Amino acid sequence: MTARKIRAYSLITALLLLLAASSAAPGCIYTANEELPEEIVIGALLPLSGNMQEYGIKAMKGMELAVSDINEEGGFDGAKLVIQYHDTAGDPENAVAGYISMAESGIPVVIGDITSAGTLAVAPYTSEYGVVLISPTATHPNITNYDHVYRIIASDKYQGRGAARIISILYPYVKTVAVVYADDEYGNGLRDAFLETEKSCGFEITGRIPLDADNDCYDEEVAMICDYKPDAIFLIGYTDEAGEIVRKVHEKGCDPVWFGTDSIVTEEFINSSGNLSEGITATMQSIRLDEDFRERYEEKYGNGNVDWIYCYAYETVIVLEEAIDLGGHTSDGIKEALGKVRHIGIIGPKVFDKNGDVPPSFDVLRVENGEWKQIKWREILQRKYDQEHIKKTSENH
Amino acid sequence: MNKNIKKHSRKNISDYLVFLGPGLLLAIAAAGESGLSEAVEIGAHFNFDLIWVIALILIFKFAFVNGIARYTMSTSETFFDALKNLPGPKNWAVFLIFAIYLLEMIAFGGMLLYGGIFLDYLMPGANYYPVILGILSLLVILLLLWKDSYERIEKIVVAIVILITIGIIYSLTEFHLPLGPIITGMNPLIPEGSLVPIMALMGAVGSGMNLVLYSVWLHEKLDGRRGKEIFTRFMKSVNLDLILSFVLVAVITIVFITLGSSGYAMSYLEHGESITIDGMICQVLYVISAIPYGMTVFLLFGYIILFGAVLTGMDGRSRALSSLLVSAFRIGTGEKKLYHIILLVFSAIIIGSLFLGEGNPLMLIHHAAAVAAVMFAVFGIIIIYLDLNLPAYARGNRLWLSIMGVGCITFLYIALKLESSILWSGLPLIERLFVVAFVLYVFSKTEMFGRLINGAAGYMDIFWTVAIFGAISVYGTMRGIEYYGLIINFRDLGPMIAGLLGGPWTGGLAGLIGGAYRYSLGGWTALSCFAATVVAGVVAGLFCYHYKGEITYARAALLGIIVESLHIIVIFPLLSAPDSLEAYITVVHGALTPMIVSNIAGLLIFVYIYKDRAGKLHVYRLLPWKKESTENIEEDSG
Repeated sequence: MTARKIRAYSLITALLLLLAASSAAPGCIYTANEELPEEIVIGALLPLSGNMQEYGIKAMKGMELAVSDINEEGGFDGAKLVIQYHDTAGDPENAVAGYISMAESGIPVVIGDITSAGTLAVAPYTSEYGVVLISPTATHPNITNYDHVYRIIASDKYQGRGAARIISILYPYVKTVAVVYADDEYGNGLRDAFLETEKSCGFEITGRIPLDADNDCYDEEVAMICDYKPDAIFLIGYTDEAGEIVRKVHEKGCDPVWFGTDSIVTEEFINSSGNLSEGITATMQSIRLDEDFRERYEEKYGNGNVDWIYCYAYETVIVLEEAIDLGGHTSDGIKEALGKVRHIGIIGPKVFDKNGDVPPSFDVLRVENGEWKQIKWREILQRKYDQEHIKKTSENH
Repeated sequence: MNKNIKKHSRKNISDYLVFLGPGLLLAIAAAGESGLSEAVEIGAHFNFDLIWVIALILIFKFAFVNGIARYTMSTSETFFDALKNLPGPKNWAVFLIFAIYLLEMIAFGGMLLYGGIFLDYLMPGANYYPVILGILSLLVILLLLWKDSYERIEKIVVAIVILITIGIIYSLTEFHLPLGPIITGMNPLIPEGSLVPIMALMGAVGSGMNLVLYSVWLHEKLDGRRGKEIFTRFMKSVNLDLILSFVLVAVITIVFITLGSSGYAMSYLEHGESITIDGMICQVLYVISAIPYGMTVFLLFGYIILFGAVLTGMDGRSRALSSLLVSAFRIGTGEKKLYHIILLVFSAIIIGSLFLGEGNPLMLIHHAAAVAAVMFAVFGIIIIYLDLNLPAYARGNRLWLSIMGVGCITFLYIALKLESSILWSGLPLIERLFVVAFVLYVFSKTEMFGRLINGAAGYMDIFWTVAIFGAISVYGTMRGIEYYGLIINFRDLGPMIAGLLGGPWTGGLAGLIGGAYRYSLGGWTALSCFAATVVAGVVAGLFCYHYKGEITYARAALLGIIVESLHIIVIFPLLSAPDSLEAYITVVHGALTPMIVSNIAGLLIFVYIYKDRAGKLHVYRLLPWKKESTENIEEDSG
């Protein structure tokens, strides 16, 4: 061996040693999966009964598909993943009871709640019990304030302002908007975020109409909406009530521009509002589905309209699998690992910041021929740039 | 006749093509570094408002490289050869470029770390970390460079060019380039909070200090040929190469700005709203993901761009430095061996910065780019100087001179305007040191200075020395910049010079004046600053004693490091008791580097001035009432 080769090999060896040394430090945190039990149990809080049942069942289906995918791949070194469900029936107190019972039984991580109200109710208990709570769909801005709480969906502080921005881009002629919102944590959070943009979006918010979930009919609210005669309605409601409002406002002879949020981006909303849903636009959290996933979904459930709740619930389990793989089956390990995970999946790239939030990213959808279809960002941006250009040019003149 | 025309036109076309290549290689590095690390963020925060900056930068940088190319083609020397023969202290520009290239390795660490993050997304579920991935990338780069095979590197880089071009064309099919805002962006406005990004753009867009490597590449292609004929024949090819390259850079940069702007639009964030690096990457990925396999392609291409930039950057810089060291300092070691040693030194710095920048790799890149922006002004002036000495046929025209002049002034102007934002680099303090340099220069011309360095100073001389350097110390505080309760300054410089000139007592007394003024200003660091100023003067006196008056540039720099480290790392925590470790780290992080840089700069000016008068300084006794050494006096009279 020549001296030159010896030098070259010495260099490579030195660098490899350095590499080994540097990899040892972070690596030693993640060795806990050597003593895994036969089953890895994680918890889930879902409304599997009551008026939020529709959302809860969709989430459960998404989670179960993820579990079956993970276990088919061999689970965690042979240990199967199992989700223990707790039916909250849409009641935040019930969600708290479920969380405490799971934490006391030694479950290190709980998925849930899918509602903002449930998640906000459980969140204060997480620091006491030290069990990670990760929500697939809770979007209230205040969820960001808790140490052990994560969510795979972006905060509504972005969606609220985004909705206002998109309304002004897509419907520049709209001068007055009424906010019709579900009177709960989700609806109030979005309403507040939307109201913050009032001065910057070029329209006036003329009405704020809460929807009480216990109402059987919304005649009074519909009358108020029609009295305001807004150019557009920002609708923050759940499938059935939203469908009913759209129908009744139309029956009263009003014809505003309808703009909704993620909670109405469901097949059920289109069924509930019928032809009137055509042209309704909504903003919602981004999803990047591949054809393979869509086909599997269709094979399993008979149609290819993959619901976003299903996707977010599926991806929550996949991200948790990655975290358990990295950090082990302990709450501390999972928490530490969640801070390091960089994940690209069917709902796009996900990475948690120090508050347990993910970076915001949204799509805009419109009902066309009885289906929610994404409006190309190219179209939206083109309009935005054109408007900004016209505004700047007129200012300069 | 026809044959002749064909032959002639073929020759003409081939003349245009001869030097196509080096510029395109530069475009890669530029597109890679600035596109990913600067332009995306600029687009996100400022939309298309800074397009005018990019246009101006590219015009200036075209003139910059054109100047270098004309020098190389007419003299057959590289720009680095020219640096050795500049007026002033011997090889000062060589030291400067050496320091800049070492500093740039910190940015390269940032790039590899950033690339590591890209890879981390590409390999979900794997137990990888960006730092480890960065080190692995560095290892591969070293293996590729170890054999000094330029041909191989060129092929790799060309492959990367093709990949990037495909990637960009692919991306353009999904989101358009908004011409309206781009045109409006040519209006030269400086949006609030955009000074640092503007400076980072100035340093990075169209390539950073890579540009001076153009002359090395050109020199290799010329293969010793020079003169008027070669110049006239091939300069058009060089210009074509540069124009194509800068147009390509402009297009790529605008595409990246569009990416950043689109990502922010679909995230519903406000322009200027803070966002993490991962947040920014996620947004870009969402935009790109509208294209099938867009995310994977972008991450992979992004990694290759960063990898390519580091690969070519390390290679070019190592080649240039090894050649410089051999020719400027007549080092016996072979150029190839030196090339390998420099690669290892670079690697050590890169590995250090990989760990240093783990939380925020873009910060490393931004800071290096900001320094590069200032260096463009310095090297721009050097190029103008070199140009004036070229033969008439190769000299730049008035338009070129105007662009260079205005460009250099603008780069410096933005740097000075920025002073509160780039505290870490100490640049604004160096600017103030020019005032001190002027005072020192005048002082050095006095008889008193002569008596001091010859050991013949009387009490009145010592009194005036204490007064003058105490006043410089006060000025150093007055012109300091407040940072987290600490005034970042060159207050220690006056006492240090007094200590070197008149011994520890003189230095200590000058420090007492400067320290007392600082103490009178109050603040939670007042006591430690007072003590540190006195200590600075005393330590300098002891330092001079230890080295028997032989204060070289390197020793002066060492003194600056010792004194400022004592100040910030030891005296400050002992006497000021920071509220928390975080407060301590904030001060150390923010103050140590600029204070070392500015004080060293002042000391180097002092060494330059005293070396003009004497070989070494007089060594004063530690106890002034004892008889002083007459060593220097004897030597001088002898």
